[in-house]
Amino acid sequence: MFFRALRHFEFFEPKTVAEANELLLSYGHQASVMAGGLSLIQTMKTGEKKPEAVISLQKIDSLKFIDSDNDQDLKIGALATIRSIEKSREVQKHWAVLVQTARCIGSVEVRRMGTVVGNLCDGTPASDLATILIAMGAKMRVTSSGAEREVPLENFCVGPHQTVLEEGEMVREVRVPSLGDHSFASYVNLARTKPDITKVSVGVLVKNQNGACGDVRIAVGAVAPVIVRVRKAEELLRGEKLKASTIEEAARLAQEDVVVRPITDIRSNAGYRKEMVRVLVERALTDVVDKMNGAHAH
Amino acid sequence: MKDTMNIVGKRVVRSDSLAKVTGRARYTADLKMPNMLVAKVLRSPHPHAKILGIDLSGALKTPGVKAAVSGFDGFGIKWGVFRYTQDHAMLPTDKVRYIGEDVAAVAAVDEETALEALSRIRVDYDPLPAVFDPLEAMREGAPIIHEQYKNNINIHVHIDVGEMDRAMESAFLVREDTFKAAGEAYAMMEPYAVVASYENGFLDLWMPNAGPHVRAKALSNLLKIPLNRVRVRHINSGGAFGGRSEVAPGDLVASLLSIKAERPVKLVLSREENATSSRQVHDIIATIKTGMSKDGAIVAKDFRVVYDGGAYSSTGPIATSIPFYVYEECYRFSNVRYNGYRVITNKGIRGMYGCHGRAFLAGNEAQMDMMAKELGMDPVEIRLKNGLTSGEMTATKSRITSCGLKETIEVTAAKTDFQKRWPKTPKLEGIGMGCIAIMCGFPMGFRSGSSCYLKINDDGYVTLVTGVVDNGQGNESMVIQAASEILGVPMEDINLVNADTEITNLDPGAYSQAAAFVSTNAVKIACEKARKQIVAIAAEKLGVAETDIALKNRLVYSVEKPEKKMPISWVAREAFARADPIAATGTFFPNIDLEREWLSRPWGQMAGTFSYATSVAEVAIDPETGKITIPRFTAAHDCGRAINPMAVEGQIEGSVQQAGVAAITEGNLWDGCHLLNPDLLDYKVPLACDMPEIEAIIVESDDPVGPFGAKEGGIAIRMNAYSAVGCAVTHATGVLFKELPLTPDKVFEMLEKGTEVEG
Amino acid sequence: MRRIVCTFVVNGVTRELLVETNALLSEVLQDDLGLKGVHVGCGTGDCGACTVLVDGLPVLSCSTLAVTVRGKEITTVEGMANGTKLHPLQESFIEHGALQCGYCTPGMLLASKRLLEINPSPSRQDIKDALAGHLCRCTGYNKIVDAVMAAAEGEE
Repeated sequence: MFFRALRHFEFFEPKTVAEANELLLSYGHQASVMAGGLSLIQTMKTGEKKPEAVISLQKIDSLKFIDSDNDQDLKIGALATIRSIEKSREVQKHWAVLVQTARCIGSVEVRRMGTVVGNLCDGTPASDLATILIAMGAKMRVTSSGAEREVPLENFCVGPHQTVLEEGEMVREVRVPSLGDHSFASYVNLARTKPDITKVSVGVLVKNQNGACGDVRIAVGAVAPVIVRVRKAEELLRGEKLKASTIEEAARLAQEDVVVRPITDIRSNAGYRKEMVRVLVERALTDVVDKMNGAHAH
Repeated sequence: MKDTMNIVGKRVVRSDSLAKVTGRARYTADLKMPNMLVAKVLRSPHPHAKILGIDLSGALKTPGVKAAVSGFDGFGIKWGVFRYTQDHAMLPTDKVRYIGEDVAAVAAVDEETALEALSRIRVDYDPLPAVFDPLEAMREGAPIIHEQYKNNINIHVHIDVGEMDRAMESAFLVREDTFKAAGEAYAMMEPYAVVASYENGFLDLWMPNAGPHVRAKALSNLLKIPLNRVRVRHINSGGAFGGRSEVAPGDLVASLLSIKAERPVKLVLSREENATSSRQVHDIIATIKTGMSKDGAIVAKDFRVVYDGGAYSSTGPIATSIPFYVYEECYRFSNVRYNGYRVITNKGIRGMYGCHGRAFLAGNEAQMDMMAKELGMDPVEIRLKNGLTSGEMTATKSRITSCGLKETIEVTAAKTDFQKRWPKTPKLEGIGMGCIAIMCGFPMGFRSGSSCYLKINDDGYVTLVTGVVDNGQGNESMVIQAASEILGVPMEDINLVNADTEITNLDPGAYSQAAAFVSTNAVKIACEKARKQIVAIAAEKLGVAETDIALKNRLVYSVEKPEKKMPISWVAREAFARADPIAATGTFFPNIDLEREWLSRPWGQMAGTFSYATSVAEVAIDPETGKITIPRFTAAHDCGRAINPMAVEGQIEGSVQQAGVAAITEGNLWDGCHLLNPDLLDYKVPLACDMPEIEAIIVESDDPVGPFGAKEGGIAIRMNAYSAVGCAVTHATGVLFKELPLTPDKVFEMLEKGTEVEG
Repeated sequence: MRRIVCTFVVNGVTRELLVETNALLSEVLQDDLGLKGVHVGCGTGDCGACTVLVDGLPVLSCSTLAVTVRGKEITTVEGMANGTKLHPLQESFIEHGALQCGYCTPGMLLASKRLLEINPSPSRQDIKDALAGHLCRCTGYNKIVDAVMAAAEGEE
């Protein structure tokens, strides 16, 4: 028994969400929830987390799902892996941008082990999925003993690795609104090598309103403690035709938005990141225009 | 000779492949021994602090702990490769000099106990002012890290040949530039591990290492145990790249613990410890001033290079010199001044690297392109103009005996259509060429040679004993292949016993690119002696002339009358009966000027021979993000003769990754004394999907002394692939690159600068 | 729970072990079952050397609690060959010189095995993408891609 990288802990495998909620309540902050386990095991190895109890969700079959009720919202259960999103025919057909985003994350092995909800709960501002899902208006369904609430993903994180989850709470699923025939989404990011942690990312959702931009949401990742929306750029676009000059102006506004306040760290530097916000917003919007035109041509 | 060879020159299967694809290959962390303990090391949290005291009593009282040690349990000896670099105690008693330095250690029955015990060790520190930047460390008034190194200058290599100042003054074109490069991480896939077992006065050790004999010598000194009782054993190594050539602090730690506990001890470093506390690569700042004549000849070179040496000497004089020498082994210049400073800072320990010197080497090459452009020449012309040829002398008086530099330049230029594309590549696409030479073996005094012993057993199977080391390059397979060729037996009939200091003799190890030229030559000589014995007996028995004898497929036969033949095993038995068994020793010592010394006498023959290589990189740059892609890489290597072309190609391809693509991704990042990316997530080793299409070309110059004509195969690309990338990016942007790695943010700045210049 | 009696089918053989809940799959395979082909390179899921197949799918054993895969079939590189007959990928790696230090080799082989199951005739790019989570410091990946391509072609 030589090498045990992890300290001892109590291990639980509840079979139902209710059981999990009860365990969470009784252990409080001493408990850590494990879905795929990748992130939790890393933080336990480094000592950032030293849970008394690890509550594995892996035996809760009711959390293993990706559902879309007749083209309505997409519901992704807490145990659905990132890989399963990539592989789902429904997602490929109606939420293709999520498949494309998923492929920016780590390796095949990481995506097979890691869950979508786990990725979102990790609360990193560099999350590829969170960036596009915030643009798409996703919502987290949070459960605790006897209660359930819904939190827009946009409001879910309050700082790096800090979420609004309270003691005893866990996320049961994330809901992604249907894009329908008129909404178009795009995700672009920059990283150092192909599958890698993002250094800047932009997720965009545009509703096509008779050839002009209807509702629009632009989320920018890795430029602030949480993923931010650049509302000035959004406002500029609303009601406008997406001409090249308009897109360029929106991109400039995004770069200059006060919420965009990147830091210099090991993955990039602040000045470069800020410049890239402009480049990526422009690319994402241009991509949306291409998609709109493509849809129109069909 | 080429056509007559059966095995050498063929794409043979490596001798170690079966074990490695089936999981049977054994690495240090796999070792298990009865009563083995697990060791953990307490590391310094301070970059620079006086040690006032170390109290191990709390650790020793922890149930399950069998030993605890600090430097006070040693002999107070400091190790250094040279007499004048003896500064590294491995477990310090005076001061700590970097964050992560080994301070104390425990051996316990399991990991959790060992960790618990570590937390009970009390170390009393008195923090001292620290310095992390080599230029600051050189200034008057900077904190002094070792008393004996004034201004923290650990090593000053000063080379002065010809009349540099006068030549520079009279040059037609002069240019001076400064280049910087972040030190790299070796990032071997196997984190460092060591098992030490002390019993009956013998110390046995297993660890991934590139030179068991040098390692044993260091431990013998540090522990005052004679060399014949320090037995560094053979084990597979999960990569080295220069980072495992020297003794590691963990070796001493595990040894002391085993001596105390009288039980085997295993220490396995985490990935993070491997980065912070094994070895790292030097950060470099190189100022290069070049004078050229109107026709593009280099007439003067003035270099000032500062190496961030970290906390201790390591192979300091060598590391401070090598970038200069590989450059002078490649190009002709008779007036040169080189001032290389290796400066001590409060950062982790550093060593030699397979890609050592990228700021200096890539800087020279890119600057040469800029100057060539001014003179109306292209990169191919200027390199052919200045490249050394066979028979010439280098600036510091090394004779070149075989040189395929010209061929490597010409073949890569032809394959890439270089000269046609150079003047008219589209904007933001670039093509660049890098050349270099490298010595096959550094001067290591009496350790520069290698010896081999072989015997043929009474069943005709061969036992080959040599110090040759394999860290993955295929050196073991290479010497087996050579022996197989000469002895006429299949490779699988040969059992190689190697890299075990109890039985093998001195060998340079997998260090200084000497395995092909030096170690294989020793094997060849031993095999030829044994072959002579075989031939003499067989000729007599078969009744034919000795000159008519050939060896193949385990048979000795007459070439003229092939029906006259006998198995080699019969000859072996006959030899035993004659009381003269077939056994031989072969020793090879390269032609090196042994008077040469890195600091006091930096001239004379550096190595027995030199290998040559040219790399060509093609790049495309995203104008908006500065992101570089490298779609294609062409590399040609004059390795003298490829003993196994497949292995040489593998070395070339690995070099394209580790030096070439690394030039846009790899570098250690520091915040003062803190290494920010000691992992494999934020230290960007290129991935499969980041790799260009590679064309690896072998050029054979048939070295007159090399075994079968062979020289080093692979490292030369490692020393020029970054130059090709640096030159290609310079070509694409029109702006001389100044810093490696060329991450998008830096390229973005270059692009903005380029616009300004044009604007 | 701190210890669980677990059954694993490791390389075709059913093994029953008392496993501590904090034990990683890599630790159980290496320490308890003596499988040397499981190599831990980073411990953080970044290098892929520790990859094993769990019910046929590549998983990072350094980042998996052993108890969570109880009842499952685990294949390590030791289980790739059929008796003395090597798997075509093993043959191909040998023939193409697709290994040097050998530390990444088990992970590369197992990930490639899975790739060829779902994509029997991959392009070079497919292979490079599928192996993106597997670091190799020696080969530049070229001969690894060659070996996987050749194995795929041989299978057809």
